Amino acid sequence: MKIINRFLTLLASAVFICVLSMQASLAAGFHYQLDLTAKLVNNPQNELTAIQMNWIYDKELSAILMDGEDLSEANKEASLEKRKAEIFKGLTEVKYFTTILLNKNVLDVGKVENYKLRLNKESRLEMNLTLPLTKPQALQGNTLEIVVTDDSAVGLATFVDTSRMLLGEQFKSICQQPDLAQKKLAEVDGHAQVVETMTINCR
Amino acid sequence: MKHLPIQNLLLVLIGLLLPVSAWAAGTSFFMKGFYHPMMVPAHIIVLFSLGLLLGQQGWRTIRVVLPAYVLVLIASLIMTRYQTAAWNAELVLLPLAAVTGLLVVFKWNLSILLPLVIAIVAAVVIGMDSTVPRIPGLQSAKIYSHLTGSGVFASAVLAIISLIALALRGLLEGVILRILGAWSTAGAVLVVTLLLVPDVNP
Repeated sequence: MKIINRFLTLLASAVFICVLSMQASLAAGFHYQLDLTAKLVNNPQNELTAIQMNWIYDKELSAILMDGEDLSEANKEASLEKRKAEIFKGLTEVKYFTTILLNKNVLDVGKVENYKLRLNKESRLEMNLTLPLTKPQALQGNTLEIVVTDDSAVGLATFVDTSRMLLGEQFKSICQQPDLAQKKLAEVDGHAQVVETMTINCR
Repeated sequence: MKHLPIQNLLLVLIGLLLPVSAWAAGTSFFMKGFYHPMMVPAHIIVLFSLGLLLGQQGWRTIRVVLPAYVLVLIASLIMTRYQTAAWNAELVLLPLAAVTGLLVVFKWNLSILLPLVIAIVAAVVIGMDSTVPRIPGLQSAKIYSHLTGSGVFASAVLAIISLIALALRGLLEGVILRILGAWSTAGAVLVVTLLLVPDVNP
């Protein structure tokens, strides 16, 4: 009887671990999505000077980042202002998930301008920023690529479709319609790293 | 029906953890961290085989090794904030689990030093492999909640398995523990083989 009791104890412990393991699949493996809209900015010489970006966070990530903050109408702006600096610091560390290339050469980006953070009607964080190029670039006869990815594969930074790439009147006349390519790289902690490349051909 | 104390303990633990687990599907970073080691089979296998070894070696070994393991694990979890591990955690933990399982099978009277070294290596690798998902702007409190969850789980599992193994060490002259040790070695070798040969599809 004693042996049976002990065997049952062992079995109970195995079941205990299995039950927890099954629940793990529900709760762990966090993943989020950032929807990007980008617009090319030009100077009077019709050179590319900057890229305006609008990032919309998914609801779950927005809730996580604003968790514990006072989001009442009276205090929402103050709470956003409080979180803004920390979120911006984090984004700077990951270089805004963005690399800009002209004819396959990486372009240097200056200090981010017009950084704004707000909570939209769907309770999703919406961030606007402008990535200025350190040196204006002529697009005519060249190919511009905007590559977005999260190296840790926890987040999916995505244009969703080509309509999220706004060329503006100047570049629309000299460039073809943008082309969006998505590539999956190796998995990191169970998530595949996705690299999106928006190509604007102005040759 | 009379229950053994350890059975009562397990029933209470299951009773407590089920509602907590259901609540964890939300945004609790403590629970996300708590579940993290369960997502990595290498963590579970090494904790299982190490727990068996500690229990088999007796209370004197558990009393020394378990606190050392917890301290090193805490230090390693904090280190994830400043350093990224340069090694492949699975390729360290799985062979370690296989060797530990073999030690359980042989049922030698080991010096306390060997389980201590195995526990410290396991703590360093598990801790450094429990990094918090990189989310730009995530509050520090959430990051540390996640790390605390990982630490609590990885410590609690080792403690529970060690105590169960301690209760079973005298049963059938320790044959049950030796069988479980053989299983953990086989499991570790199987997983490491699958890792090293990724394309197993015909």
